[in-house]
Amino acid sequence: MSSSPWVRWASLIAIAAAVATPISAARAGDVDYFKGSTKGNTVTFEHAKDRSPGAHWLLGGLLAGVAVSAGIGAYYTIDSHDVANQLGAKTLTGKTWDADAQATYDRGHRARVRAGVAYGAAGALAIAFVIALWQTDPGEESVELQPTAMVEPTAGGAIVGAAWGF
Amino acid sequence: MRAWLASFALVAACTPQIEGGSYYCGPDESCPPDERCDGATNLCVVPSDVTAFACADVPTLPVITSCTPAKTETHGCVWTADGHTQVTLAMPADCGPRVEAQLIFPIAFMPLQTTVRGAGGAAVATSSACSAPHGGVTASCVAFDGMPGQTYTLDIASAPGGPTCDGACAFNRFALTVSILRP
Repeated sequence: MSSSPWVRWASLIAIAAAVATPISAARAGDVDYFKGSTKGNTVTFEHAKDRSPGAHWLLGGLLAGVAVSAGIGAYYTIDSHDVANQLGAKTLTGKTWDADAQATYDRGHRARVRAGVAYGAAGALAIAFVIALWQTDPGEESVELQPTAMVEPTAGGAIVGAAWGF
Repeated sequence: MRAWLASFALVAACTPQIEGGSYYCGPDESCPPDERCDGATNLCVVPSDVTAFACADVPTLPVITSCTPAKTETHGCVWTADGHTQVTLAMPADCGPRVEAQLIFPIAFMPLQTTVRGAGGAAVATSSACSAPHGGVTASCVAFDGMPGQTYTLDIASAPGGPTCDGACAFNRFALTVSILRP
């Protein structure tokens, strides 16, 4: 099979271009021939991002709310315990159920209601705290540490090493 | 497990556990919630144990024959808000003693007072509260100087303006103690 001289010239030019393109590209990209060996020296680890100051305030406020609400609940619980101990009876006390006794009973009832409300608020704030903790989580980021070369001349040679700082 | 129970006991608010029969009824038959005033004992009891007010005593006082210090007691009842129970007290003919009358009654029901009436029904003295309520009862006292040979009537009736549970407890029982103190 014979071909015309134009076709032969075109084929040669195409082959030359195909071979030359990667070489020129490699030179243009300034290829790091030690990439493979240095990559192994890089230390990479996952690092938790810091929460924003606003998130810190929110979480701190919720936590403080839990503590305060629980404290109020405990205060009224103790008060209701006092009233229960004061009025509770299984045998004849010899006392009369007068206005003072009724007022004390009512105080205990109010204390029980307030303790329940305070504990409910503390529980709601605790749930809000957990949700906020989850929602304000900024996630993690990858940190790569490049080694620093260390060369220490010694008598008759040198100590060569690498160090990573973080 | 014990620690959990202790924590729960610390956190859980308490309701007073009041057994029936632990307290005397207060004014207007007041009692702890879920309890009612027992008419027979004026104790606060569970509703199923409540009995109606009962009183069948008829008060009488012995005849005073001398001015020697003495004390006598009788019991009686007042059944309605405008009811009266009367006890006659005759003084010895030869002396006029100092007389003190103490009326003790449950505070659960209608409060009572004693009016001392002389001949013709004129009021000589009226009792007033003389002790703080204690043990479910209170006391009303009156004192007067009896005239020799005079007969007095101790008229026991409701104290004006006292609570009557809106008429539902317009009754009471009483113990009347009469003391002859001195000529």
